[in-house]
Amino acid sequence: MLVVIKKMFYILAILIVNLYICEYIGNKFLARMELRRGYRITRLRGAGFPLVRLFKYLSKDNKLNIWTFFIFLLSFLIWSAVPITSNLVLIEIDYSLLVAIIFYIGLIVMLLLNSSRTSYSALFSETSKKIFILLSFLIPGLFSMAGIVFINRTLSLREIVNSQNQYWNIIFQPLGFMTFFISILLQLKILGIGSGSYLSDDIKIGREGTGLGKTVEKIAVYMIVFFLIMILNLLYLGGWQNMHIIRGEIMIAVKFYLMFMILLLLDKATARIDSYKLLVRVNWKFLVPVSLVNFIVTLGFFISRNNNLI
Amino acid sequence: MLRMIKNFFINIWNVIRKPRTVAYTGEKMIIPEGSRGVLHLKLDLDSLEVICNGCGVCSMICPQDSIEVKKRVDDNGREVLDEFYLDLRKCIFCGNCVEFCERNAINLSYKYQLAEFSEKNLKLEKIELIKPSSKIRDFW
Repeated sequence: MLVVIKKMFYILAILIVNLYICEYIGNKFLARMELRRGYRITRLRGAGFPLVRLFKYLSKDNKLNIWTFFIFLLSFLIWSAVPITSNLVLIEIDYSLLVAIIFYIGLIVMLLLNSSRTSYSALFSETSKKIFILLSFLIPGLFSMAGIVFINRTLSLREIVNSQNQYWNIIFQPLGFMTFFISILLQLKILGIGSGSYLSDDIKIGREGTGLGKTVEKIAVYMIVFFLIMILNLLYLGGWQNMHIIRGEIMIAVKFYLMFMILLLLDKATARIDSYKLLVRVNWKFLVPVSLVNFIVTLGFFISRNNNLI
Repeated sequence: MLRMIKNFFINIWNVIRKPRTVAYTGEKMIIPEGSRGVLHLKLDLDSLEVICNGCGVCSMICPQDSIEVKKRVDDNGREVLDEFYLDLRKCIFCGNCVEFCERNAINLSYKYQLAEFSEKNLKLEKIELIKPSSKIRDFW
């Protein structure tokens, strides 16, 4: 029992520190991309800014909706099945990838329910449409994940990482990596971290607002992005595998922040898309077919290997 | 797609570049050449008198009616400038007065830190417009 609590504490600590760092990096990085200096509210180059922002949110309003509470709960619960390092995982199961995806879909559904909490007619609103679009962006990701599962013959994230000790999966599945990465980018564009998101038009997720509810929604958005980057890291980039003399724990952090920064850069580079419907077109006309082809080729390879044809 | 890749590299380059904004009062920046500030009445370097003779062309040409000129006749029978008022609440720093001045008696200084506590202080008189300090291209 004590071990579980200890692990829980470690995971929470890592997540909160990560949240702080990513909020800081996100703000500073976006400012520098616009040739601004970034926040200088506090000394030490604005290092205390995320804290100041949190207090600013909390000082306005402290009401918490029940759906928002569930979002808060799920955004941390999502990490229960995802191993952060080889030892740091709360629930060790053989199908952790499946559990993680189910939690993730649950979180998005919670966002949908939160958006439509005011009235039942809001279920068919523009926001709900956007959240269904968000779910549709998951389809190429799922196809890519299925490819990895066929290659490694396991649903356990730990085993998938351990099987990459010689070569990373990105070498076997470059198309899968590309589609998964672009699908993350599309989801990031709908959710939005730094710049305005398409989802924020109605329910104001990831936008500056007031109150505890907004803080929780923002944390949920960050958790979704962290989760997706982490899954990408574990599935394709070798996770916590050591690289020469560099320890795996350091490697996973480096890869995580690198991916986060590249995503921020790409998010900013595609900032002038007028309509989110273009993202839908990119998804259905490019990502889904490419990931499907990748999946079929992998499936064919898997079947022929099982029948000893290769 | 190509534009996106281009934007991506521009963003990376921007991250490395020095930011354009400065933290005011802490850091200083040279004002770009050709910036337009408050207008300045030139002095004749020999006699140390104002070149302007109060013809009033600047007042007539000013699109905002921010200049008010009064002239008088001195002891030698020459027309000289008596009063010169500039209302900074109206001035848009267009530079028409400089262009139309026949005697080339006006130029625009680099002074543009014009915040004041009182509205009265925004109406400048002749003496304030002659001040040499306003002519120097200073830092902020």
